[in-house]
Amino acid sequence: MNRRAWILLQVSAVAAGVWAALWLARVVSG
Amino acid sequence: MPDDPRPVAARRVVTIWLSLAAAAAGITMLFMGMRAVMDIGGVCASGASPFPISRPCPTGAPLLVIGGIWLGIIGAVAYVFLSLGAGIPSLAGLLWPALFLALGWNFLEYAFAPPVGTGPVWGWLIPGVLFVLMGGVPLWFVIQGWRDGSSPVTARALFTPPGVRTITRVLRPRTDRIAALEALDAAYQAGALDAEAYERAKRKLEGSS
Repeated sequence: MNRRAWILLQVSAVAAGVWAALWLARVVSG
Repeated sequence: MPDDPRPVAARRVVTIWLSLAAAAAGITMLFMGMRAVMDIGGVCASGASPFPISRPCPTGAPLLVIGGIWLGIIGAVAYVFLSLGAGIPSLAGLLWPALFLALGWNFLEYAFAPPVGTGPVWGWLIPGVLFVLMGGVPLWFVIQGWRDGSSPVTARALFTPPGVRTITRVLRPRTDRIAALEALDAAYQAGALDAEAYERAKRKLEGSS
């Protein structure tokens, strides 16, 4: 896998993590 | 940039992805939990306490803060080891700046526009400035490292403070020269070189400082 693919893959991981946390924050705060 | 010479197993790719997602989620949870607590003035209490709780925590805030800290720590440690171990271009150097700049942003925003009373709130402004410095200075070094062309964050680049790098750069040629002189001397003692060749090589080595 080349450098660009690695960076894109990892940026997608960050985006997914942030999205999941924002979703959780909305759910638990009622 | 050439392709990575070492192939990374699919399972390792998945664990790297999951650990980075967990680290990012942990930092975001802490960020959101901190805002929820700061919205009601910055302190709260919950759970079984012998004292009456005057300001209960916002719903979900303890889970976000405590859960975020643990998820962030576990995710970050796993990600740093997995990504650096695999030798891939790692974002590990950005985790620390991300944490401190995110929390520093909260401190600064709430210091100037507090939900209770009027700003600036010095108790938030000071940690805000501190956190931004703690995140911003390492970020500057990370960006410098990228500009120098050593772009994938390596374990050595991440864990070696800048001063140590300069010291090793200055000392290494000297120790190399001493080792070369010793090797030359051993060759002469063993009879591999005659006196003239030995002297010539030695002068050449000593002159190359």
